[in-house]
Amino acid sequence: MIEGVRSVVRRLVLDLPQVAMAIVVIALGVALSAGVLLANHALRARYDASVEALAGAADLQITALSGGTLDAAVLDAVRALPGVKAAAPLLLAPAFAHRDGEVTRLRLIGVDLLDDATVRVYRRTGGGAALEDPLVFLNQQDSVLLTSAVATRLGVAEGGAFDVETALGRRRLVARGLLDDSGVAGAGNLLVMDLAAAQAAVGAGERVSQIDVVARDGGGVDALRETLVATLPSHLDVARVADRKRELSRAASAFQVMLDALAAMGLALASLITANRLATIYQARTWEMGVLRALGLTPAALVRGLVGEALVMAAAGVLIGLPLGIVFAQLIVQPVADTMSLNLQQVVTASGVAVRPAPLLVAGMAGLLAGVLAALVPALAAARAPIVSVLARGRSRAVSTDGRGRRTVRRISTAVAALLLALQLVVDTGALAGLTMAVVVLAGALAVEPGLRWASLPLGRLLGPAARIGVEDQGRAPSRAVGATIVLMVGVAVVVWIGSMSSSFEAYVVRNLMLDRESDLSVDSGFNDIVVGDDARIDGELLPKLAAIPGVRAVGAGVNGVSLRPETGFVAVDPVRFRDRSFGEWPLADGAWPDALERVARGEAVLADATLVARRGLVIGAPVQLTTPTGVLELPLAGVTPTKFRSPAGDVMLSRDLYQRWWRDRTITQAFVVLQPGVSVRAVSDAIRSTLGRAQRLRVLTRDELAEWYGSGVRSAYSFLDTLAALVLLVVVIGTADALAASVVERTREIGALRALGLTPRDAAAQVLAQATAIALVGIAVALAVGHAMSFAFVEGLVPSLLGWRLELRASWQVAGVAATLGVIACLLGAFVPAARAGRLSPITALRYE
Amino acid sequence: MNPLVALEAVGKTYGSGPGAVSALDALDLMVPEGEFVSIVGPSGCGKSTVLNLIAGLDEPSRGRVRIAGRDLATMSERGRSDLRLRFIGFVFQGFNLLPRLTVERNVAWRLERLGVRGRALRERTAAVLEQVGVRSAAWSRYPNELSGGEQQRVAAARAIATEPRLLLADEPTGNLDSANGRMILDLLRRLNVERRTSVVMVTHDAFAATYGHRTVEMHDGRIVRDVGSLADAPPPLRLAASLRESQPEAP
Repeated sequence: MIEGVRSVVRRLVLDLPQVAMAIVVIALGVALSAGVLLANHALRARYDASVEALAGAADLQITALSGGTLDAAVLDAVRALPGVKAAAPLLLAPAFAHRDGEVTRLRLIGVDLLDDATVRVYRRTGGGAALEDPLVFLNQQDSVLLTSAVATRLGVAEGGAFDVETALGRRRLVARGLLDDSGVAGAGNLLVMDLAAAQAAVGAGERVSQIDVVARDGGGVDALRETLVATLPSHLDVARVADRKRELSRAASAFQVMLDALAAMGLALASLITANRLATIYQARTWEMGVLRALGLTPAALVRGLVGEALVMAAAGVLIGLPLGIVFAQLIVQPVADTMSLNLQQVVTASGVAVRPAPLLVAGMAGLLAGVLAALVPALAAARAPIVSVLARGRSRAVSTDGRGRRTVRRISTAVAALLLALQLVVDTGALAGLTMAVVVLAGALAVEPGLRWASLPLGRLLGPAARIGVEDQGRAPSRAVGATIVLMVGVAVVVWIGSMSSSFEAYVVRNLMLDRESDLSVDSGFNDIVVGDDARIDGELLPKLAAIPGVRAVGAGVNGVSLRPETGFVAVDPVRFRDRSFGEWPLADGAWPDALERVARGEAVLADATLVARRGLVIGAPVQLTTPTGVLELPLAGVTPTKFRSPAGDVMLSRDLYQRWWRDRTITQAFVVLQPGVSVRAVSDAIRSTLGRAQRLRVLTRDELAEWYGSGVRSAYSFLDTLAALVLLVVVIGTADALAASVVERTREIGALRALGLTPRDAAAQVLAQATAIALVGIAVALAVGHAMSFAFVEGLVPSLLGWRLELRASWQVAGVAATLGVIACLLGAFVPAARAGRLSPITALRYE
Repeated sequence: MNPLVALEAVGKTYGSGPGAVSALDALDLMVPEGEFVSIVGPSGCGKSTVLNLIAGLDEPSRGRVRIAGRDLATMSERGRSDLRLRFIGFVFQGFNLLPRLTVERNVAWRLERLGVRGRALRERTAAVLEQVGVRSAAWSRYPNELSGGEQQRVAAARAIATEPRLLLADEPTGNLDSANGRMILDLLRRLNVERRTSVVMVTHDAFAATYGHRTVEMHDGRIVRDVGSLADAPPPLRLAASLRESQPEAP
C-alpha cells in the first residue's frame, strides 16, 4: 500500500508541470466551496445562536399582531397567570457606536435586569454574576452591559465610557459590566440596558417589543398558550418559541441551499477542468499505457492506477485549498451576511468566521470526489482503447463526430428546457424552477460542441487564413475546447444570473418604491437600513415643524409596519399623498375603482400590492383585514399596486388617519416634502438638517439621492457577485489556458508542418488566439442565453417560492456586458502562454514530435 | 548564372562542449534551377539536416546558405517563412496533412495565405488536385479517409499549389508501398520536367534516387560522391535505374 502510494507520488512528481495545473484547479474549487460553506455555516450558526440566545429559556413569546411594540402594562396580567413561572419584557432597537470615525451597528436590548436572568443567561467575563451591584447599575441611566467582543471592538474597558447614537440622538454610556460570549451574548453585537433606561434612550415610552414567558415546570405550554390567548387583548400574538424558531430556521435554510448550490457549482467547474487536464495527461501517456497493456497489465489495474494518481493529486489540491478557503470565507462573510439580511429581513451579523471541521471536511471530501470523478472518464477511455491502435496512433487525436445519439440528446434537452421555461409562466413552484435551471445548464453545455463547429467557418473567414486553420481544427476536434467553453459558459451564466437577479431586485425596488416618492425631499431616521429592513420611527411632531420651514409647500408622511395573523405588510400614507401628484403616483392595475385613491385617502378603502393579491387571491371589492391594537380593521380593496416590499406576504396601503386612530400611534417612518416653485432643494435640505436634524439622527435626501439609496442597499446585498465573478474569471483563465496548452501539445507536429510550409511564428500564435476567441464567443453566446433563462426561471419560480416577492425580470445588460468582456479577456489571457509557446516552437523539433 | 540553392562550407553542430555532435562538416552543394537532385546516404548521415537548412528551418553553425542568391542568415524569421510559402514546397515522409481539415482545405490554405480568395481559390485548388490525380470525390474528405498514396498526392498538391521554384522532399516514399511510391516519384519528375521546378529529394531508397538528374551521396556529414549522370553512378544506382527504365510510368 505504502509502496503503491510512493510510486504514484513519484509518477506525479515526474509529471509535475502537467499535474500542477490540476492541483491548482482542485485547490481553487475546494477553496471556493470551503469558503462559501464556512461563511454560510458561520452565519447560520450565528443566526441560530442569536435566535436561541434572545429566546433563552422562554416557551412562549408575546408580540403585537399589529407589528411594532406593545404596551408593557400587559406584563402584570401575564405574570398573574398561574401557569407562568417567569415573564420578561424585551425592547429591541438599533443603535450605533462611534469610535475614531468608525460606526458599529449594535442591537440595543432593554431588559428588566433584576428579573431577566430567569429567561436569558447572563455570564460575566471571568465568571460571577453579570452585575456586581445591580443597584448602582439601575440608579445610573447611562449604565450598559457589553459583550466582550463589542467592548474590544470599541476599545472600551469595564467602567469606560463611549458614545452611542439612538433614535433620540447621541449620548454617552458607561460599560458597567462585560459579558462573556456565552448566553445572551450569542445574539451578536449586543448593548444591554435596563428596560426603563432603554425606553428613554429610544423614545419607546412604556412600550416593549415582546414579552418572553417561561411556563411553570409540569404545566403544559400549549395549555398556557391557550390561557394567554384567552386573557390578552386580541391584537397580541402568543406564539410557541419552538414554532417561531422553526419558521426562522426554514427561511434561513432556503437561503443556505442557494449558497450551497454555488459551492457545488464551484467544485463541478473544478472537476470539469481537472477532467480536461487529466485527459491531456493520459493522452500524452497513451503509448506508454499501450506498452504496459501489451506486457500484461489489465485495463482494471490501469484504471485503478490512474484513479489512484488522481486521488493523490486531489489530496494535494485539498491540502492547499482548505487554508485558502478559510481566507476566502473571511473575505466573503460580510457581503454574504448582507445578502442574508436582505433576504431574511433580519439583522445577521458577521464577526469573523470560526474554523469548523464539518464544512472543511465536506469541502475536502468533495474535492477528493471531484478529483476521482474527473479521472474516471479519461482513465476508462485510456484503458479501453485497443492496444494495437494505441501503439500505432501515439499521440494523434481522433476526429470527433457529431453522432446521432448526441444530436438526439441535445435536441431533447433543448426542447425540455424550452418547455420547462414556458411552464414557469403558469406554474411557480420552487422545485420546477430548480429543475428548469438545471436542464437549461445541461442544454447549454450540450450546445457548446456544435456551437464551436458552427462558429469555426464564419470566424475563420473573419480572422484570416492562418487563424482559420486553428478554428477549423478546433471545430472538428473540439474535445478539450468543449470543456473550457463549458467552464466559461457556466461561469459567465452564473454571473449573468446573479447580475440579473440583483438588477431585477434593484430596478423593481427602486422603481416601485419611487413611484409614490417623487417629492423634492424625503426625511427619515438615519437608522433606517434597507438591507436589514429596519423601520426606525420618528415622532409625528416633526411634520408641522417641517411644514414651517420657509420654502416648503406641502408635507406628507408615511408609516410602515407589519401586522400578523395573517402576516400583512402595511404602508399608512397621509391623504395628501394620494391627492397631490407632486408626491408621486399610485399606478393601479386594470379593474380598480375609478375613485380608488380618493376612497383610500378618505379611509373608506385600501389598496393592496400585486404580491398580496396573488397570494390571497383577492379581487377588487373584497374585504381586507388588518389586526390593529384596537381590533380588526376591515376595508374593501379598491385597487392593486405593484409590489411594495414591506413584507414577503404582500402589503396593504391605507390612510394614515386610519392608522393613527386604530393603532393609536403618531410616529412616522418617512416624511416627504414638496417645495414651492423656484426654491432651492439644497437650501431647504440644509435648513432641515441644521434645525431639526440636530435633535435626532435625520437623513434628508433629494429624490435622486433617495433612489440611489434604495439602489445601493440592494447592490450592497449582492456585492459578493464581484468576488464570485473574480473567482469565475480566474477559473476561466486557467481552464482556457489548460485547454489551449493541451491543444498546442497535441498539434505540435501539425504546427511544425505548417511552419515548414510557410506559416510565420505569428501565424502559429494567431491560430491559438483564434481558438481562444472561438471559445470565448461561443461560451459567452451560450452563457448569455443560459444565464438569462436561469434568471427567468429564478424570478418566475424560485423567488416567489423562496422569498415571496413577485418580481419582473430585468436583464442586467451592464453586468452581462462586463462579464462577456471580461470573459473574452480571460480567454485571451489564458491563450497568451499557449500562443507564445506555439509561436516559439522550433519547426524541426515539432516535426520530430511523436 | 547563380545556382538556385547554394550551400557554401556549411557546418552544423548540435550541442556544445565534449557532448557536441557534428551533423555536417564543411559541406558545399549547388543546385541549379530546374535540376532534380537526390541525396542519399545511411541514416544519421545528415541528409535531412541539409534539407532543413535549405528550407530555413534550421541555421548552420558555420558557412552560408543562399536561396536564389539570398543569404538566409540575413533574413528574419518572418522573411524565411515567407520564402517557404512563396518559393519552396515541402513533401514529408509522414505526409503531415492537417487531420481536421478536408483535402480541399489542406491544399487551399497556402493559396489563401497568399491572398487568393473566392472563385480563383476554388479553381486553383481544383486544378492542382486534378494535376496530382486526386479524384474530386475525395476533395471533401478528411485525410484519415484516404489511402497512403492519396494522402501523399494531396501533400504534393499542397506543396506545389503556390507554384514554388523549389520542391523539397524528405523520404517522400518512405511510408508508401512500391506502386504508390512510384506514382509519387513520377509526379515529382513530371513537375520537374513540365514546370522546371527544382527538386531536392532526400531518400535512402536507391530506386527512388534514380529519378534525379544528379545523385549526391553523403556519409558522416560530408558529401562523399556527387554524380551528375548514371554513368558516373555507383553500381546499385545504375541497377536501380535500369529497373526503373524497364517499368512503365505510373498513371
